[in-house]
Amino acid sequence: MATVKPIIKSRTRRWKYTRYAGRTGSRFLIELRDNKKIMGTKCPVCGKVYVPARSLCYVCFKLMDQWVEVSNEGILMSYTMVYQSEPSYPVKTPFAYGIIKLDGADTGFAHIIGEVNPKDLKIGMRVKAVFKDKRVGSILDISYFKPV
Amino acid sequence: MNQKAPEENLFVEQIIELPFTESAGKYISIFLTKIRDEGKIVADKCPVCGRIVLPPRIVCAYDKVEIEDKPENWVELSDKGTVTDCIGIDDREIDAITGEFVGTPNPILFIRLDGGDEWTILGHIAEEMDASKYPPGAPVQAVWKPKNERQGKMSDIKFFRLIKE
Amino acid sequence: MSERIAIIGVGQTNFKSRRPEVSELDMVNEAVMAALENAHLTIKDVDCVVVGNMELFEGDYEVDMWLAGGSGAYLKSGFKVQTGGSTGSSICCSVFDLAATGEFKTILGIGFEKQDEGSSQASLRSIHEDVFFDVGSSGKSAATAVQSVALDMMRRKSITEEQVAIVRVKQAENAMRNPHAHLRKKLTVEEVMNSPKLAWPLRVFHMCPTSVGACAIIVAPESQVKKISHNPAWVADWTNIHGAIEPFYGSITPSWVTTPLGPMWAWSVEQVANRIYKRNGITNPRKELDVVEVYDMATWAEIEWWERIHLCERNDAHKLVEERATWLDGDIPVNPSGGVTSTNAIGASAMQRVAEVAIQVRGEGGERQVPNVKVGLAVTAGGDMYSAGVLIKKSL
Repeated sequence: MATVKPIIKSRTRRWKYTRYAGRTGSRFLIELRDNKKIMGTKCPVCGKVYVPARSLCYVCFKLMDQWVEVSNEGILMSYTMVYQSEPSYPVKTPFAYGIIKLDGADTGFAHIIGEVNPKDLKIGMRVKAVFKDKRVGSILDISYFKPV
Repeated sequence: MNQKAPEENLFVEQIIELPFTESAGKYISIFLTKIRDEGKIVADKCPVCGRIVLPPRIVCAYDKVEIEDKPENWVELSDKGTVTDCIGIDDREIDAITGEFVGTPNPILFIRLDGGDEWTILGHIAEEMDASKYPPGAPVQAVWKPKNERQGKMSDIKFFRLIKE
Repeated sequence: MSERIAIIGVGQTNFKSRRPEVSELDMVNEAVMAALENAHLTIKDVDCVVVGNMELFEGDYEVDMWLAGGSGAYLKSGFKVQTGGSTGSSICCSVFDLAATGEFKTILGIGFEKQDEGSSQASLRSIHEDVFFDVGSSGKSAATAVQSVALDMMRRKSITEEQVAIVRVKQAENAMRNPHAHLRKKLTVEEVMNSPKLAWPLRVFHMCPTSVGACAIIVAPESQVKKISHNPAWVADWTNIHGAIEPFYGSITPSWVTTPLGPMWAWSVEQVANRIYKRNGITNPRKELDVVEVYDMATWAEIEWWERIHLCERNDAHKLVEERATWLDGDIPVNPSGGVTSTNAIGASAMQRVAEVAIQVRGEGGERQVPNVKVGLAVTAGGDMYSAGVLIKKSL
């Protein structure tokens, strides 16, 4: 056979997915939405308080049904500046992501650090949650954490 | 999100869009080029077991030998053949996002093309919607798109038509 | 050096259409906790976790890592296995292979599907819509595949439509005795025969549902079984096989009744059964097996598999119905669990066939327990044309 030009075709696949938060996840988000409260769950074995709330302590492998309200203030454990834009980012670049450990929690979680000059970001600095006025039951019901 | 309810289960919906590009490969490119440019269906032949392989493959999977790109290993098939099976579609697939029907309502037709052996079976669609008109053994003929409309895809053949006596 | 192995724990969720109150991790964890409880073990006794579901259905990339916190895989070995409809049995085969090395104390295998979150189209249309062979993608792929098997059976006079309805009623009766099953409603032959056509002769009531749930098994090598289990179900043999060269092409993949070997799903099921029978000296399966679980994506498929695993001669499936041989109180009960036709969370389905045989061998079948089960066979089939078989015995 004489060589032929390779045949190449393109297409875009589109798929729709749903993700359920589950009872534990739902309650955490509902407390953000309805009460501006940040809640964690506490392991009955090791006593660790997980924020955001989880259903299972993965170390002790035990279900957690004890709920604990934690402060909406805490310390910045780490941070990074984001410059490259991605469609999934909640805000425009450049912005700062931080790992925040709230007072009363034993775990940190990621969120945006706002109202701050990047030069002033410091590990160990205290930050406080700023809630949106219109909340829907999402981690983004907190707009960002700002320096205290 | 959800309306307030005694036991609220929150969820998020998301549509993922992924662009893909696929290469037909060496022999399928030859196969589709022949369909597009010459209106011909070609298969290849295993030098060990003699099976006529449709669509043409670079190896015979049974003997695990390469089917080399030599003239003697290529077979030109007729675009006529006999039906081995016809599957009517009573319940069509609906796209979960657009809500539209996928594909065409035509029954799926399996045709043993003349010039091939018992493994030389092409899957395509029937011209008419009534699957009972295509019992096993019925003679059929490919109906092609005009050359300027062919794109190097299986749909360059519109459907298969019953050959009436 | 390889060791003999046994299933020492089985856990399942109760399968439903939707479970919006649990996240995927929560649901998988339910099955894991149930299996640990059944085995009288803690997660500390598990060294390795193998997990799987249908590719793309829930849109999880690296599902084993996504679930590591809830599956018990944190700080342990293991990986994901995904082979389409037969995923559950491939997880079992993988777990069995690992257990036989004797390197792990126990191994946990988990199959699940949370289809209320998913896009089944993502997976199925990925196979069946080919960008080059772009014709014939209209039908629901699983239905057209079974339809070709059904047409073939009717042509061979293997079974009648009424007999298929009678078998469907059997499956419903079995499911009503299984607290984990999804569809647990009594059915009549008339209701089945009058249900809407999906792809004639296939009707809606013949076809499996879409279920949400998880199944887990715990497997140990003999050296551990002696120490930690009072009721092992010994895995005497297992195998899996790719039954065809390739998903034939594009849109028309599994509707493949016309090959010289017949429907390729059915052919791979037959090869798996032949292999297991030959390796284990089984010459009369109907007599020598006490219980069978097959992957019946539709009632027609269950009946085809009876012939393929040689419970009767080719074209004689109708005799097994006339004699009620495959009923719970028959001489070769098939699918005491209610089968896939009653419960189909795809990633779990093939594992449930193996799990149910283990349950029967261990005497934990409750209202659906078959008396005196010493030997059971589980045979699965999935897209495309891939089959597995597992032989389980009360003692080796």
